[in-house]
Amino acid sequence: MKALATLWPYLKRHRAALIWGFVFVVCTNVAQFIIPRVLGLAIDRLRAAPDLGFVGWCALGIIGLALVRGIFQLVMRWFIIGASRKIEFELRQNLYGHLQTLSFGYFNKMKTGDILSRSVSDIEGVRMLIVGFMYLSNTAIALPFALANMFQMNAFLALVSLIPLVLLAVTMRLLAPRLHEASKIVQEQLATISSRAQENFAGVRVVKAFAQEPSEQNRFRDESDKYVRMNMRLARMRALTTALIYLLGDFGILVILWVGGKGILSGSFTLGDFIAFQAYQLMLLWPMIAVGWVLTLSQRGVASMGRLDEVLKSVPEIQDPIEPVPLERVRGEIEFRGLTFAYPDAQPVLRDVRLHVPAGTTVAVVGRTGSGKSTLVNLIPRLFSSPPGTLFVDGVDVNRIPLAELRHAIGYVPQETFLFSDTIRENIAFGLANATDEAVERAARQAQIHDSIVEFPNGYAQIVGERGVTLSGGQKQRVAIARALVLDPAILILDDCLSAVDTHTEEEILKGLRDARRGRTCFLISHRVSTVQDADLIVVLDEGRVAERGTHADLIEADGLYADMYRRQMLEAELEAM
Amino acid sequence: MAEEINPEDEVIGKAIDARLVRRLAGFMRPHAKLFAVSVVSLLVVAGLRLLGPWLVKRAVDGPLTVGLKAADEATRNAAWNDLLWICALFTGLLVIHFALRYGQEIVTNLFGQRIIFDVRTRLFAHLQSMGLRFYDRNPVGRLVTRVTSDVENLNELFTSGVVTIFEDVVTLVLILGYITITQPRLALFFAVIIPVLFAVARWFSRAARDCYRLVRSKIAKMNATMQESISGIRVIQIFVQEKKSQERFRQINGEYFDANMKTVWNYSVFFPAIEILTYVSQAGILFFGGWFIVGRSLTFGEFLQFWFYAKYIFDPIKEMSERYNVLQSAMASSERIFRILDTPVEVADPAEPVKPERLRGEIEFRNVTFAYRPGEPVLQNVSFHVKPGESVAIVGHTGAGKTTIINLVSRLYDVDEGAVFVDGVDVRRYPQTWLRSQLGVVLQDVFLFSGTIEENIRLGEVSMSRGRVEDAARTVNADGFIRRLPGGYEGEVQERGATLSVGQKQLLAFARALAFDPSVLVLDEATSSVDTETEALIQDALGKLLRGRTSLIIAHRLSTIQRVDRILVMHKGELREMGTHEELIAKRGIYHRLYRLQYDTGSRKSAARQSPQPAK
Repeated sequence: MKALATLWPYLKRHRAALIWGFVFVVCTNVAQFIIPRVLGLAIDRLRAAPDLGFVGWCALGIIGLALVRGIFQLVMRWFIIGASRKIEFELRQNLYGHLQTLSFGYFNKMKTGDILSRSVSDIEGVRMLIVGFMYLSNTAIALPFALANMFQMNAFLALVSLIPLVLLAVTMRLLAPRLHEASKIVQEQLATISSRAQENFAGVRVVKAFAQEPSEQNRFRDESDKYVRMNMRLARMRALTTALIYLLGDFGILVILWVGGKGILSGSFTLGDFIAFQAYQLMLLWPMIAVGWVLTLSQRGVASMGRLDEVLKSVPEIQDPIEPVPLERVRGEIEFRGLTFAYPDAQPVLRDVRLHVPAGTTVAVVGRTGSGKSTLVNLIPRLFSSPPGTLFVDGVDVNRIPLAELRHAIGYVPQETFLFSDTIRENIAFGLANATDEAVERAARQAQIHDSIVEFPNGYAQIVGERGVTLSGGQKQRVAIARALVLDPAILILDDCLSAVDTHTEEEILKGLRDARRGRTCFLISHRVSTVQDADLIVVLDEGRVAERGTHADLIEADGLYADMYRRQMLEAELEAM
Repeated sequence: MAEEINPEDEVIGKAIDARLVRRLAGFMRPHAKLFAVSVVSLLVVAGLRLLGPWLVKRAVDGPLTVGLKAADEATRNAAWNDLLWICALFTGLLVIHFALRYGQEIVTNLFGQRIIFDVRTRLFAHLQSMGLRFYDRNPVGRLVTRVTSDVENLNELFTSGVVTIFEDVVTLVLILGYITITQPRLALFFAVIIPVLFAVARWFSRAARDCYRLVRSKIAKMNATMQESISGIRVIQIFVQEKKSQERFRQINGEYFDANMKTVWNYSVFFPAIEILTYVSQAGILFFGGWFIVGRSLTFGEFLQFWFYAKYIFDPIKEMSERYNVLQSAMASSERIFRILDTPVEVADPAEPVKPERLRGEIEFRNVTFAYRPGEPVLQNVSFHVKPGESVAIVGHTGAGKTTIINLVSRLYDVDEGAVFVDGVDVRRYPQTWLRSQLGVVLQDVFLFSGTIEENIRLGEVSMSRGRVEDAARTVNADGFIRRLPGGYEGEVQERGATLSVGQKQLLAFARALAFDPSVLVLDEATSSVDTETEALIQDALGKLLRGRTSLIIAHRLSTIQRVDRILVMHKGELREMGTHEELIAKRGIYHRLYRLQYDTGSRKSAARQSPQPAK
């Protein structure tokens, strides 16, 4: 059971609760197995003599025992199931923690839905292993207890009544996986119907344009019909299961009536035994069903554990260097030395990029979509690893700088704005522990979002994305800028971060950022040429290569790609005005 | 996955709403026979089960008492014989009960499934008849929930609701009736214990439902947090905030844990409580039974019979309160389902539709104004006329209203003002599906359905021969690449065509349009650039498609524009310029600029690439 190795430390941590739980499994069974005895005693006494007083005491005794048993059962459940929930909590927390360390590339391969299903259903599957342990140990205790009592009353009858109980366990063991399989098929068919409907609703334009409604209805009808058939298959199995449980349960009564009846007639068995016996049988009914069920459950639990291990054991692609070179204080000098970079299994995105950016200067990177602009700046904070000896910050290979130190020095504004569903203040202060209100406000002013924020109903305490108040794309982007500025970073990366506002506004905001840019190395990516005119250096990327470089005036004069982009943009502005 | 909980989905109302029940009964009517069989077999099953304890009574009071007291061998043998007879009867009873219960459950499920099938297909059919405006208003996810989860809830109602509640009630009534008649004093005892049991069960099912909802909302929140941190992993890592993010998650994970512990507590109390009540009732029967036995008003056999019955009463009561929750959520779901079924069809077919043999292909827009959302007109007073056989290109900047024109011609939406005429007849006077089947539409994003390539060309037209599919594909130069695909025409489209190139999808869409041999071609050209070879194939195919057909093309390619007879220039929702390419260029207006922006860059770009890098 290799899969359980991961679970072992968790079990060890909660061993006290689990052991106590087990003790109460025993206690519950002890209390429970006295009851039929008392019952039998009362009946036999009644048969012998009209002694109502004794019966009354027996009745009270039963109630007392039932109360004690009930309390034991409560404690047992609380201990064991409680422990299973705690282990679930810890497992999930560790899963989450581990996910945080995995690199961005991992999440491209692994679907979010897949991760969520591991976090919910697989962890639940593992938890059921522990709950299964409770049921199994209950059976393990109950069975000898009951059998001992039954054998004492009538050995032959005990043997015969074992038959339906064993049959029950065996049939459950056989049926449970089939039931599971059948219900999985039903779920899958429902998923098919769901995606069929999803596809239809999403493609409703095509469906209507080609007048395909009738045929779509037929296809949907076919799937629904199949679903009915799958469901009926499951229903037949379920019906068989319940009918069998009834049959084998009542079969026990028949056996007692027959074998016990014979005993009564010969005087070796009493009516009290009859009732007590039946009670014992009944007590074994569910524990025996549980055996078959738990075995199936544990198989699934082990499989779930395997899937969790897959995530927990995956190694982060990007890690701290083994021999780190700590930087005293990052100045922000960046150099690309013949950098060629490709994503796994793909053509290079960047080819032989040579670029030296002195600390404190602003570089604008322009180029068409897919020319490699974003990749270029994503390499600086090591979102992806650059080949050794190709990218340097303050003269040190980025791969050798401690990850946290490097990233702390970078203020990054991603192309796709991502804000957390938290207050605006928390979003701005995201990267800075103990950020003061002044610092947050200063950053917001620099990003020119302060005035908008104070107009929200809750100001800085406004929760992003909460009903009623939605931030416009441009506002979100400016919050993201503030989030980067509040860090007071040596390096500022603005990855086409103002795409949601019009050209004029972008120009205004960037102008406003001029102060904030002072003293920092700044990478400015834009798909609009006109907004980057005042950069110290403009780099034009084309198919991963540096195609042109220079100041705005240089590049216009050169009349190349840059000049072309510039003209087209002017044309667009003209058109907009018509 | 982390499906956002729609407030509308969480409204829980009454368990029984007369108006809804009446409508649901309408769905039951066609399956009345199944319902009758289900109910009758259920009555028999419930009754049969009560016979078992009665047989036990007969055995105990009969042979077992007689035989025990008998001194002579003969009487004892006779008693043993009687006992064997009773055992035989019991065996028969078990077998019949087994078979009937098995059959009854299947019939009940069949009944539920049939109804569900009807509801689901009718709902889907109604959704198919809704216009695009309806789809603009309702997110796809919500509609999917209607045809899946909501319908499933109804299934619960019919399989484990209506019929089984009936079983529970019947069992209760039968047992209580029997006890009241035979032992009214013992019935008094039950009269005390049953309400207590009911109260406990009701308390629990309420608590369980609340807990369940709490747990569900916490799961949703937890999943949302996890999803957020996965989408935001880049931001978290760049800002080195992994710890903070874990703390955030710890909080919601903890809330989920607390919610679960509440459930654990409920169950930990409920199960023992029910067991205790069971024992209390047994102790009660023991005491009162003993009392009556002493008083000679009860036999041991009857005592045993009641002993068994007491157990039989417990299960239905435990479950009945559970059923209440099922009823409630089923009512809420049916309410939502009926709300959709009651939504009137916006774009409806006319009462007396015009349906000529075939369209000539004349299109006219007369003073058309249209808005997707009130107050935000997308088209304003647009008028133009396309003669049969003429090909016309529509050009314009993004958001100029080009696609809307296509939507209005095929009547996916109805105009707000003015009218659209095809062959001189208002499109609103044609049957919708007929009109659309006469138009060959190629959309910009080629939507491929899951299925084979052939099915994607033929669509639902089952009668279309394979030969015709292949002919169409060959004509538009798609045959070559299709044959090279794994499986050829029978190959499944992978991931909605993600494995196909843009050019290939475009050709596939051409084949789809041509296979239907439409009188009018409506085409929204793909914007993405393709390699020169494919471009040549597309242009060649386009030429064949246009031949002899009226065509309306939203053009993005220079070569396409040069091919058409006339160009309409849309700008900001208005038709601003119209004419041939040369005329419009000469005009030096919007078209001239659009032309320079969209089509006049290729040469310069390659020229730029060849130019030497400027010195720094």
